[in-house]
Amino acid sequence: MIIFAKLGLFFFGEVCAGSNTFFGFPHWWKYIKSSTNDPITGNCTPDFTFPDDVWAVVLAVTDMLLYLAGIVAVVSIIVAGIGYITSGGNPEKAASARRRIYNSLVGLGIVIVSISVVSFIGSQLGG
Amino acid sequence: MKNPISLLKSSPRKLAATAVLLFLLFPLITMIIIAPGNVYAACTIQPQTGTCVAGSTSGSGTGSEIGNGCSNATAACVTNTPLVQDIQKFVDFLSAGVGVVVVAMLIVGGIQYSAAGDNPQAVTSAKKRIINALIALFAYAFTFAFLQWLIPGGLFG
Repeated sequence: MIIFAKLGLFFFGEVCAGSNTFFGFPHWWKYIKSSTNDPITGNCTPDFTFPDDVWAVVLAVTDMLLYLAGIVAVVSIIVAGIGYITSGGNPEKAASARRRIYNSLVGLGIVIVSISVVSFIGSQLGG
Repeated sequence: MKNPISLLKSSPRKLAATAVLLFLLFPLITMIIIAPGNVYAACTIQPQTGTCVAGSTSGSGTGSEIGNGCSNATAACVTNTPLVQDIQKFVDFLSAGVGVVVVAMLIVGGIQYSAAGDNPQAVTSAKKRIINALIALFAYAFTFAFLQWLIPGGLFG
């Protein structure tokens, strides 16, 4: 019934494991079932059919967003750390850097917890 | 007179809840509207044998075998009507996406929270996005439970 992001691999199966991706971001055709993978060249030909593969693509986009969330949180913490170092005894700047670190950790926690919360509620519905 | 875009900006939460309810109540409303003329007319119940005969559809069953009149056979007739099957496909397609889309919106809210820095307004907007996604999830859950209880035979397989 509901497709859970956590169980996406079991629902769709990963046909083409893309190796050459930008920063390890997954390809949009990662979960499309009917794709064909050339074993010699390693090239993947995605075969998108409209009603069946829509949520597979949305699932791949969600995977990309997961990667993006990790990158944003790490960059934000680094920026806040630099701000903390260069605060130079200024209490306002130090407090701002602390808030920045706190917020990025909270955002990362929300992202990590979100998948299990939604799949828990969905499984309680009898999915 | 408000234009639709300003309405969307003024109350996105109300609009989203209405949209979810409309999409999920759509099959129910359609079934109520077409029920007397179309669906149940396709199923005629023969009083002597208790057999339920589907008119133009392939659905048929015997009430005497089931033992509770013809209600289960009638439900089978309704389920086998082509229009109801189309609606079923549509509802299945939409409800398959609820989990993925809610997770995507929660992750977008988390990214917004991470990128907010020490700006309280940005934190507030991220919180709003997350709360709206959770409201959508619970609206789906309660509508699912209500329709599953209301519709004989169950709406979702």
